[in-house]
Amino acid sequence: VSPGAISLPALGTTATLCVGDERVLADAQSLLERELAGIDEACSRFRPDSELAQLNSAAGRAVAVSQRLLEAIQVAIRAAEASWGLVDPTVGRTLRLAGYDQTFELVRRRDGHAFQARFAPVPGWRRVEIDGENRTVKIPAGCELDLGATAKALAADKAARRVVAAIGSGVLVALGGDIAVAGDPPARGWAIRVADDHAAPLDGPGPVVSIRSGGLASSGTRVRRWRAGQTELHHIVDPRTGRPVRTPWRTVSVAAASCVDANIASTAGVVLGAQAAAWLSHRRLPARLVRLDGSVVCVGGWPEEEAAA
Amino acid sequence: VSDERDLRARLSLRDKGLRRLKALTGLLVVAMTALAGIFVAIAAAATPGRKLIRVQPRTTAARVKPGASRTRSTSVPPPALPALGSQAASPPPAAPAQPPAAAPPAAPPVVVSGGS
Repeated sequence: VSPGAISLPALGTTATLCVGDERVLADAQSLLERELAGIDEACSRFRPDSELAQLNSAAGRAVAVSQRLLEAIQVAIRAAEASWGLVDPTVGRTLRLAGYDQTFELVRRRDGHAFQARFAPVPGWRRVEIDGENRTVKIPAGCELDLGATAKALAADKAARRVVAAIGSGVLVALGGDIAVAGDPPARGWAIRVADDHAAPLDGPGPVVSIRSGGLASSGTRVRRWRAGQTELHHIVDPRTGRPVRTPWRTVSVAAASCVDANIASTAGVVLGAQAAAWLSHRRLPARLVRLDGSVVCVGGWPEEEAAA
Repeated sequence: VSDERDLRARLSLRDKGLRRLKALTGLLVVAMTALAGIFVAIAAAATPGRKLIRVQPRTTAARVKPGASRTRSTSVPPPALPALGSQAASPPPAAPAQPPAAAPPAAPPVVVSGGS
């Protein structure tokens, strides 16, 4: 049995699907595409017809939502709770005002020299009201949700589980830098190169590690950057300031029991700053943190660089 | 003459009493000012301008479980830094069953994890 893999553009990034048996690749791809389409329809901030866009435009009123959006918001709130608010879905408005107001492909093309960024306070995740029984969500007036931090990771986890349940093959699903694996892994595990940018070539620089279960996610400030006048901004917002975070780390990669957990921890690590290595280590999360100067800190059982390189 | 002396003595006694009363009032004013200063200092020390508010998420968090009754947030405190040993209301991100291992050179990577 030989493995199979395929990559496709999705959710403003690249989706990669790997299965242990290439004969089931087409079926697995079909399941993945269905999951991606569903998450895009529910959670995209840039599609005017998405449920999230409608929820954001109805801020101040309770809105009935689908089970999928409800789950995505619940996961985002859980991320905020688990990270003490470092990963907060209510950063949507300030992110939009700062210039990330359309798909990143369009943001990248804009002449940023003439663009004037603005920022807004982050209302805070505690102001999101969720009625699970009636499946409604209410966000306060002036608040906009951004689920970019966790929705992709959730989609990766769900797609991987679905493929295993339906097909039985071991599977890896990568959405940008967020990777979920499920089922029986290859004999040597799933080999993953870790870099600053998920779009880096497979044979580029960076250590290669293998995982056998759960997820691995990377968050960084080297990607999704745009110009606003004389300054350059990036997409990871510090909820405490409402502005792109100033952090000593350019990339934080974390392995965890699921892709969502890995994503929460890696994003929180970037936002937390200097304390991140100790915070991750205390929670026994294997992590690799790359400082702005390129030096690396490994904690929680992440293989040391010499062994991994 | 005797009445006049008596009157002068009483006036002198009255003036002496008034002076004592004036001195006592001055003393009281000084004491009150000092006490007020002390209380202001105590209050300032108890409530500094940049006080860190520790949030108790369990009591203010939006409930997110399906089927749970509706709850409403009560405040919008700024996010507090997570302390190393602190526990959030939700379980923290869970560690994997096995940490990543250095991949053997013979195992080429299938995907790149990086910022996206």
